[in-house]
Amino acid sequence: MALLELRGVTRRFGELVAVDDVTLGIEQGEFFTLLGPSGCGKTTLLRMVAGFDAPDGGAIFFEGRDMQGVPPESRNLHTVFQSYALFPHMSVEQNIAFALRMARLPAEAIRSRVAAALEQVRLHGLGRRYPHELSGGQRQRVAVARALINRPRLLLLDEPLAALDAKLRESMQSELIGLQREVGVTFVYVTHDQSEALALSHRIAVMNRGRVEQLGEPSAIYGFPRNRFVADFVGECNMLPAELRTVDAGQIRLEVRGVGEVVATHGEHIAAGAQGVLALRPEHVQIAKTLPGEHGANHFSGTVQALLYRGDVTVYTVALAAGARIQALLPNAGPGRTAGLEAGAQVQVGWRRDAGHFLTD
Amino acid sequence: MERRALRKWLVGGPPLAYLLFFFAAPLAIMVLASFRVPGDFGGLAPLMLEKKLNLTTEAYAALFSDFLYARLFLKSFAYAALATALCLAAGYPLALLIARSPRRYRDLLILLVILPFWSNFLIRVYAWMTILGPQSYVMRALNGVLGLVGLEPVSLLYTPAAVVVTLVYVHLPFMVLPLYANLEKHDPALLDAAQDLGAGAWQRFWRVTFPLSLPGVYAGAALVFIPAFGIFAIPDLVGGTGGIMIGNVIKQQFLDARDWPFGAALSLVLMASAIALAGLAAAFGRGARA
Repeated sequence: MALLELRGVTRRFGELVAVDDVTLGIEQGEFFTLLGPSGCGKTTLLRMVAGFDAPDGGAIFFEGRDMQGVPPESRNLHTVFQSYALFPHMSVEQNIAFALRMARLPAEAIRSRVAAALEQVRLHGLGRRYPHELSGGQRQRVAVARALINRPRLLLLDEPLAALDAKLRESMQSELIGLQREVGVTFVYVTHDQSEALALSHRIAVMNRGRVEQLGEPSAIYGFPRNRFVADFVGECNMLPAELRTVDAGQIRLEVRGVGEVVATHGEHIAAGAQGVLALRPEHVQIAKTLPGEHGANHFSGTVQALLYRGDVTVYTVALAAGARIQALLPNAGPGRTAGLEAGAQVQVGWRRDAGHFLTD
Repeated sequence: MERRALRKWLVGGPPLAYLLFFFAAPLAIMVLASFRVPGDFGGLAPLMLEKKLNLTTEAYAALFSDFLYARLFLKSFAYAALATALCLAAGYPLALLIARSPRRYRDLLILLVILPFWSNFLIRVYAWMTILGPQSYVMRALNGVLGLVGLEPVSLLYTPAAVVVTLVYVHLPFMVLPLYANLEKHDPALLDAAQDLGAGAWQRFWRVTFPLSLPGVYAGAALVFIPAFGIFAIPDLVGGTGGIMIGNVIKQQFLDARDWPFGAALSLVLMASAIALAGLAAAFGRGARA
């Protein structure tokens, strides 16, 4: 049995169904992420796992035990809160020691374990400081150390990096990955930041309106989004209305509005005539004055309408001859890569047959 | 730069002038009065006598030589301290309850706390004279119960107990308001964090809520203790002869005995001890926070 199992968990607030029939299992040692926009139910779900809220329907099993009626203080799991919720009247040491003091450990054991924890999160020498004397990153580390000190089976993290600036967030991401590997504790991580989710997780559950839209490894979520919401929310995506024409072994032919005939892949059982969208990642769209290689499938000509320089890459918006607009992303590395691709230039765009996905919902 | 200085004076000037005129100046007059000689028929003897300053430390000598006054100070301190402790015991749960109620009810509940202020102070104290009097339903019920268990009936009016009860009633809002202002600002996530880390309800209160509320406790305690320490109206009305406090003696010196220097000396010592206690509490408060 998985360490944490949610079976049909549902939570309603009046008319609103905040969490809608969520079923999933999280294994020991996993770094699991609940990803979704604000209001998708991910924090509500986390609070139910922590015990601050109870489901209206379904059940939560943790360590093989039904958690119904078990208060937060009796669950063998801890939370890193979004605002860290460090106790402002306690020093860093006292904050970290809190769980051990609640567990009535002898003072000597508490001292040595707090010292080890400070070492582990690289806060050595800051034990006597108070939370208001720490930087954002240091506070975040105190919050993590405090939640890990009495070795819970599960650590819940509620957008723990949201309050940090971009640069620090990146370094804290790799620190979190390292720490999780080191302590071997299962992490359930809540975020609305898709790049964070992709970078950190073993598995991701993408949530929307209380439901899990897709559950899988980051590469599967990004590479094979199951529906429009996932494709749009995780990464950037061209979404072009399309109708399915023919289904062959392994590939399909679509009539894409404003583009023309496109060859793509599909995962589900679908029949000709189905309506949907062609989902196409901008980085899969090649762009050049004249594209080399085989002419034929998925090659179209158009005009560069706008370009957005982002430092490492440039995003081109191309108006196709048939009317649709497509975004293409080109790395800026290498001399002359982008030569002649200014606004107004006639260009060709194209993509591989397996780059586009036909999504019906 | 000059305009800014001018603006500062325009804004700060009037209150400063007000305080100089109605606080600093009277205080200086009081200090001076405490060293002067009482007049033959009350009031003060002339300041200049035969071209010499007519000043004396007799008032302070009398104050410190008679143990009676020290005992009165201690007694007043005890009443005020007890009233403060009872206000804290009654006011803390109330403030906590209001701070944890749904936001839309909080203003209404706070309004109810300060509602008694809308009636006159004396009327409220007179109401307590009725309540504590032997004919009230409260006292008859109390004595009825005492009689059932075979105890002598008690009389509360004109006793120290009546003074403390009334002090608590009158000053309770001054405890509740600063406590509420503090407790209302607490981040509920801190309690979630404490619970998450294994703290039960009791531990959450003593390790998180209470220590964080100490500034409110000190503020409330000061607002109750300082006025209660020097009060005279309440012991006058409900205290009887056994319940008098130092404030009554000060009032007597000015109005009955007409020994103004002695009254001034007593009130200055009262003020100094109140300031000393407040300073001590503040230092203690800083110590607790650091």
